[in-house]
Amino acid sequence: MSSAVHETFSTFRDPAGQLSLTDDHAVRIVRRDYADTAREFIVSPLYSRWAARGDIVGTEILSDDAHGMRLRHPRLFLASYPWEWTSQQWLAAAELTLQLSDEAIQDGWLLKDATPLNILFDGAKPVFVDVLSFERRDPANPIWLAQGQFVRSFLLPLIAHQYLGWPLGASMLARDGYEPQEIYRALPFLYRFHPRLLWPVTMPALLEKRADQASANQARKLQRSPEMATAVLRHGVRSLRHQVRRAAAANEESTWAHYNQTAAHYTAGEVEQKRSFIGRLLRERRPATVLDIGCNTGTYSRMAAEAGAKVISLDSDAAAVGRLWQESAQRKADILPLVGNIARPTPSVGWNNAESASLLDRLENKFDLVLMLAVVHHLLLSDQVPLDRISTLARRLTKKWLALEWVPASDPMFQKMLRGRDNLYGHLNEQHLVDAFSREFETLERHELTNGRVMFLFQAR
Amino acid sequence: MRFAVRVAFAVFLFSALTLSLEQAAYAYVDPGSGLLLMQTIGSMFACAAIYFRRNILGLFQKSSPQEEAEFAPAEKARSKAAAE
Repeated sequence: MSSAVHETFSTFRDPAGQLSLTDDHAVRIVRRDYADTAREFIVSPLYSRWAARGDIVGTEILSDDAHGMRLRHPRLFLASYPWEWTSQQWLAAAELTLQLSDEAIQDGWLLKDATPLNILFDGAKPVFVDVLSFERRDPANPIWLAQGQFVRSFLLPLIAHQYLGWPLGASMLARDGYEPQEIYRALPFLYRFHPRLLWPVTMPALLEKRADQASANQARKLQRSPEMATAVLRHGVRSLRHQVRRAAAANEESTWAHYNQTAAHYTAGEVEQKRSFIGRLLRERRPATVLDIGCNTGTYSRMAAEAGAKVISLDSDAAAVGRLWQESAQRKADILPLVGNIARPTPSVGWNNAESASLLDRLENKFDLVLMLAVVHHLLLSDQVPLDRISTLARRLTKKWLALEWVPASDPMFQKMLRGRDNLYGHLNEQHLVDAFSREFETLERHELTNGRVMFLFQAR
Repeated sequence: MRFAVRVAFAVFLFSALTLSLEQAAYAYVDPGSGLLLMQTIGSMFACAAIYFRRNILGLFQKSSPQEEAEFAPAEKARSKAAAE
């Protein structure tokens, strides 16, 4: 076990403590002033209940002394960011946040920050990972200070996606979600009075000017009877739950409408040939970890998960990824589908360009098997990436094997993407592929399908 | 009537506090200003609704004054949500 600490990916905003990552664990240093609260929370029945359900990350107290506490959490296989999630995953993360918030309120706790960055996915299941996010609440105060953050960072990106068509991926550029004014200014005039936009967008945007003198301290001083305060807080959570469900549900409808466009270009027999090739290699090689690049609706991701692998599935088609996530979540399959384009992978963003890791840094050298099924011609023709560079990227991701489907130039899909650039790409054949990949891979298997496509199994050199 | 007076008084008191006290915000997470004011107003309405519901329900329920003083808002809030 290496204890190398990746300094670049430590968190620092929360005054209660900092988190650093080692290869196997996340180590959290809790400042002395916050140690009592953290200790009380970790030993509380509330925390035990959530940990037993798998809703919150496990915690081990490494040390607890006058300097503060050191906590250790197991690292989840892959950290993902909200800008790589589909709207359904956003909703699942929001629902978990609200569920925990509601239970915390009843037990006398309060969630002090409500951002999707507190959630990671373990397979398809969302997990709350920040154990320092809970504090004891003033029993008589009916105000949840983090509600604004929930609206900014969960609700408004979904609303902007639904009503303005802003991609969820664009939330990468906003540190803490969107301000109501940003959405208000972008909304067409009549939309501002839409019942679903009036309360989360228009009213706060208009109140903003008047609210300059209303500080958080005054809200903090509001006092009601404890019963009333609890009822009001829970009412607020319920109301947010309705709003976020509505904002995500409409997205789902619109994406499903486009789903038919992702039809396969195979006969049933050819699909079966491809399935049997992948099935056999999963049985024989038994990879523990699989990356499915260009997963579409995840036929092969599903096969890999059923064969016992931990699977990360990547596709730029959010509708396909959403469908795969929904099915994986229902079946509790160990698949984490993410929206992403391997040709333009998520960059590292935030403070020092190092607050969130780039997609390739997170995926690097993590997988026993990488699947690139009918992907190479996309990279070659649409993204204009030469074959040898595709090989280098594949080698960076896999520890052992690469299964690749070569689509020949005669294939209708290849021809469609060629768009008259025959002189550039029309001559490329299977031998060019093998030559380009031979520097980093050796060919273990070659199997030609009846439609002319060729399945390869490469082993990393 | 007494209820309306109370609500009006609460609104007045809140506005007066809002305008008269200016203190630096203190929170790890930015609570927002428009969103926070919105929530504060919303919470007052929720308080009023819960209080109102308790009294209206009280008209239809036979209960001792002691029981009425004891107040179970969680159930009331749930029944309100169900009614919505």
